[in-house]
Amino acid sequence: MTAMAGRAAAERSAAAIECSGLGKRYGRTWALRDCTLSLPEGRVVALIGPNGAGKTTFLSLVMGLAEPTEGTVLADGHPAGGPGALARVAFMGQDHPLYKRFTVADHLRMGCELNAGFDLPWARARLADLDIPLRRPAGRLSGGQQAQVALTLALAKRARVILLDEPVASLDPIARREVMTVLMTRVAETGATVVFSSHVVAELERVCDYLVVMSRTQVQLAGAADDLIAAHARLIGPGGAAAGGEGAAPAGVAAVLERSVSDAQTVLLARLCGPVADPRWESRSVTVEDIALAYMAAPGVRYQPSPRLSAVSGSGS
Amino acid sequence: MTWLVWRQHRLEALAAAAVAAVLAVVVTPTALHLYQVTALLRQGGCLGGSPGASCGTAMDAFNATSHTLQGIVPLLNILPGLAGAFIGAPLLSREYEDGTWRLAWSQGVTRLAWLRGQMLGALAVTALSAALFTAVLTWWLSPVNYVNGRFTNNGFDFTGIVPAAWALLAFAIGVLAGTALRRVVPAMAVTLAGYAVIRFPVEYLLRPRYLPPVEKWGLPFAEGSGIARNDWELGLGPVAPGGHAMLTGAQFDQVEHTAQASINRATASQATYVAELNHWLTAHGYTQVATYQPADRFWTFQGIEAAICLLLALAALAVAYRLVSRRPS
Repeated sequence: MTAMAGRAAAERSAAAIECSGLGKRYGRTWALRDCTLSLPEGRVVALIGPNGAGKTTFLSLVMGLAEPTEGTVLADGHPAGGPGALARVAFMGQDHPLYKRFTVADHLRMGCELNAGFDLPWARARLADLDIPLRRPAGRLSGGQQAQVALTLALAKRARVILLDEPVASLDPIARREVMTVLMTRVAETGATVVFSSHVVAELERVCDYLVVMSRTQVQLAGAADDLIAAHARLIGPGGAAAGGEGAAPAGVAAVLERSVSDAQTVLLARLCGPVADPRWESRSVTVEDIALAYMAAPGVRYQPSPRLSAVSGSGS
Repeated sequence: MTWLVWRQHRLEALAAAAVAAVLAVVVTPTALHLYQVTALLRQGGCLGGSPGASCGTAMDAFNATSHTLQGIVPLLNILPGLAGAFIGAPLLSREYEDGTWRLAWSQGVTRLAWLRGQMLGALAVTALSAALFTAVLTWWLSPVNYVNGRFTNNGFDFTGIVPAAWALLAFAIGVLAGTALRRVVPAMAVTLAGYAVIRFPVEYLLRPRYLPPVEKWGLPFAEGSGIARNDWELGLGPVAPGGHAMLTGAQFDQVEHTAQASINRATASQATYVAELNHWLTAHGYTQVATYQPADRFWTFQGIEAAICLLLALAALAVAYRLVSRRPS
């Protein structure tokens, strides 16, 4: 019954997360505004932005831990926080909260008791791989181990949508790599969607295939990594007086995100709306990291290329 | 859910059981002594109309111990408050303080189902702890209650369903305080304060008035009040002619002074003096009234007080439930 309802919901909407006009205000302060997003299924979505950009608020709203002030949000086709969504969405909070007096095994037992599809063998195997003792109280684990236990709980839920708030913040670089590999494997095995937030931009390339950049409580950029790479380029052209002054860019450029001018040359990081035919400009490809950093440095520029959302995506320049 | 609730609250349950066990051990010597003395009182017929010769010693022994207890036993009224502070107050505030509410509420169980499980589980722990403590205290105090009647503050507070009802009310206050304040220690403090603020007026102002007291009229200098040992005496005093105003001590002294003037104190023996005094006072319209709650109202009063506590508890839990369902953070 629920499985059928789930399938029907999935057919109705191919989006893992669908939100429209979503906003959250705490007292007089808006933590998230005007968020309209459709995140496709089966992706690893990186949610990037400086502290206070609204990442945690967004994830809390999708999990149903916070109630929207305005707008709606569906997770795997179900209203956030309802029984349908709770069965399909997993969440790992910032600072990886655990019950300090519970042992690791107690946490796994809790996962089994409260979640119908909890993958206990997988969770046990992963914790054994990480040499995390099941009998130790969570309060006596290291910060990194606690993060791994919290992550294991979230992943073992076998959810359709997995929300991870700063999952690697307390991990060393090697553990970060391991976690990212596990995430990608899990997505490949189960077809789930992973959304993880981070204020660190490094290594996005290896991990995510969808990027959402948030700034100042709003979605600034959202798109598939491939599409974003295709739509952006680093352009190198004439420098000094020949550059043509502030704002000058060759035809085909929709928005300039970064500009550095020297006597010898001008370098732009730009979003394109067509081919750059001007022979004085050379076009080089950019990485997802380049794009994320460029948008974070230019918070006034918004871009959400999804055709469904054309009405709300901001103007390019 | 049951497992989770037990796992989260087993420490409180075991602590309550341990404290009850320690209390039982501590009170055993006094209890055994009281049971012995009470047996002597019973054998000597000391509580009936014609006390035997050995009653004086036995009664003294009983009074000495019972007097010490009168000072200590009321302190145990803090126990329901402690149940509220240690089981009720942390129920949600600890989840908020440690951030584990985000873990608990992102599992496959709705927040309200989780909350119902938590409330019911912790409520059961509170009720069972209260029952355990009541059993120990009832056993301890039953000799005293046998002599003085259980319809006294000490007897009433630690017998029957009232102790558990107060524990549940304190628990509910704790849950509400923890939900509203979201910090463990402030919630515990507010719980104890809230319990005291409700407890004292109910015990001292409302309890004697659950039903209108019964009045027994008699002679001003009658031997005793004329009410039974197990009744709960609320007041006893001389009443002015007309039967409306109770006299204060000073007023009655004055009346007695006037009466003495017409009695020849020097020639009268003590017995005839009292008889003549009563005669004079009765002739001038003075009487004495004892107001009391009859012993057979004990369970009615227990029921009324328990109902008050449980209704307030239900209201507090309902508000906490609404806070959690309507004010997610």
